[in-house]
Amino acid sequence: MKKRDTFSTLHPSVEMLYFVWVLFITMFMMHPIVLATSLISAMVYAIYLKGAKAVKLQLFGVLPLMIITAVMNPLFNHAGVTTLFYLSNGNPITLEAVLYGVAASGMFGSVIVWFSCYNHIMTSDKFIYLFGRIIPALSLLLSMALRFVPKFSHQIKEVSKAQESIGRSVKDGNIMKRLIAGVRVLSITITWALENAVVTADSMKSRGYGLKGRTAYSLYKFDKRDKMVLLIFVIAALIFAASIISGKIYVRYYPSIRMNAEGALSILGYLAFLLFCNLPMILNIMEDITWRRLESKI
Amino acid sequence: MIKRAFIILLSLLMAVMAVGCSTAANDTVFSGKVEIPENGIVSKSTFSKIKNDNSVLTLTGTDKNGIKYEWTVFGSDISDAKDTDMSVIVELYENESFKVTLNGDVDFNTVLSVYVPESWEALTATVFDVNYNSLCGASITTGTPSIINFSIKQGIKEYIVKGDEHKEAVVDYNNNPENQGDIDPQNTNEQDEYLSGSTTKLGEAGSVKISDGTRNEQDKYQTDPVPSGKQEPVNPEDQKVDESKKWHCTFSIECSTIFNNLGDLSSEKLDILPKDGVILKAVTVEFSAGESVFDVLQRVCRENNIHLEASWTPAYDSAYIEGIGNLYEFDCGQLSGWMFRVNGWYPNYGCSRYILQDGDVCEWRYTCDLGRDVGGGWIAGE
Repeated sequence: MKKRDTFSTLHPSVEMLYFVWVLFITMFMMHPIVLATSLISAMVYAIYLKGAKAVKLQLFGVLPLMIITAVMNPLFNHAGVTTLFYLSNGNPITLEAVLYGVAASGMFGSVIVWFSCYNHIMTSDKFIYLFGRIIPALSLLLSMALRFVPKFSHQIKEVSKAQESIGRSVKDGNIMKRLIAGVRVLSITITWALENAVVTADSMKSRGYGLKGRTAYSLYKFDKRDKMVLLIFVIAALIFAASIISGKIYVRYYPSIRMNAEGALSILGYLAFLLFCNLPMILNIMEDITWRRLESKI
Repeated sequence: MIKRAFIILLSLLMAVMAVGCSTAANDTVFSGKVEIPENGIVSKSTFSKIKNDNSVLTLTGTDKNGIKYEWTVFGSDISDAKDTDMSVIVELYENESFKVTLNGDVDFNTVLSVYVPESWEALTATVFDVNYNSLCGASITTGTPSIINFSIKQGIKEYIVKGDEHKEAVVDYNNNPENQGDIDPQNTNEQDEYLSGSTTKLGEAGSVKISDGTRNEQDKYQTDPVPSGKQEPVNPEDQKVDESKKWHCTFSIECSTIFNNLGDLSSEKLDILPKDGVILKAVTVEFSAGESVFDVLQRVCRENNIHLEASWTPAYDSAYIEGIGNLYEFDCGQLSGWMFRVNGWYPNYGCSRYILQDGDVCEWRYTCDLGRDVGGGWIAGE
């Protein structure tokens, strides 16, 4: 049975806020401890959400990308005071550049994994619910664009199955025949995609999407549980922001590596960020425990 | 109930933030320019503040003759903060020299910049004590006023700064009897091919063509005509190195113009800024005949453990020096970067195309103003 994710039953605005903050921090902080926290939390959550599929993505998609990023940086960036060895063109490979590359790859990897979680949780109806009123045209466009790739690949499968059944399979015949069949499938799908976009936009318009006074049915209610979660979010985010602003969580890579000394406030900051990153997992575990308790009582 | 808890938590957070913000990170920072008061006394509190903050402070003053001077004080150099008279008296002498007398006891090493209200011809200067013992070199930022930067040693109160003899920058290798005698008769034919310029020992390692100023268009690497009497570029693919022939040159790397533009320097670079502005003191370097400035720079930096980053630029057929000692181009304003001069002339082509000669004086200088401040105004079109 597929696990039900508790976090995605929260109010969309809470979920959106969570992702905006966690992505913002991950993209702009190069601090190794913060990045490690973010990366590991993202991976754990992605695996919880999608299981073996997430493991596959992380091992064969994210990991090689991360390694490439980490290796690329010291090859092109030679700043830093600690020279490890020299390249054949005379430029140095420095410890600082190597470590910066590792940090950058951690950032890159965790952003990708967080986005895979985002795509799983922030479905387009949630997105439209949040932004449909404020920016109707843009949010429709965005949700269509975000949905495009999965929808397109699904349609390709459908079209090629249909073509196969009338004997134009991409798997049979010589290369020329296969090529023609493949191009036909692609052409049909692209035509469908273009038409589908126009039809979607038209049908939304004919239903009065974006007009003044139009209401939309939604199941979302901002209840007590959302309030509590939001409160914890805000507190954790504030503590973390305080330790960054005060310079207690701080790192510099060039020209020499400087990091904050571990003090009370910096450790508090790490813990706040750890709590923040893992809130969805904590919610899930709490829900599982409740469920089991209820089960045993019956 | 929940509301009250929320309010308590928020106020706690505010308190934590306030405590956190009061203590900043302990990096070297530039704490600005401070004018020295009339009586010259800079207070103890100023020194202990920069000492505690580990910051860099510029103290500016004007002596009784209206000559401007500037101290660059590193907080980390101050051992014992106390009220110190930082005023100086500058007496200008003839022939590009002056004497500086400190009024107070400056008991830490620092850098003094004197704004001499005349344009000095000298390329470098030497600092002497009252007994004419040479103490150290001084760098000159050209222009009017010329800025002379040199380091102040604790305990010495009087300094005499004298511009070094302005050596005739044009070295005519053909008039050099030593070179003349070396010219191989076999090479005379080759020499004839180069009608537009004279050469030294052409065809041999280290040979170069001296411009006679007749070339009047750019070459294929966009190099403007080389002024008459200066060395023409040698493209790296034509470079001939003779390992058996050992020559010597003087090499130095310095960045003291940064002291006069500290406000523009990216703050993280203050940590690695040498306190006397000298990355490499003038040293005599042995090199093989035919090696270019870039070859020697690369080797010298490696031997002295100085960081160097260069990128090959095919459009100029030369290496471009991006950073030395982790000081990069654009680190001190949009017009900053590294330039080199040989025997007082800034070549108008890259360092991989300048073949060093025996006895050359090669200096690498950091400019904060497209070369105008280090006497290489051609790059700015002057």
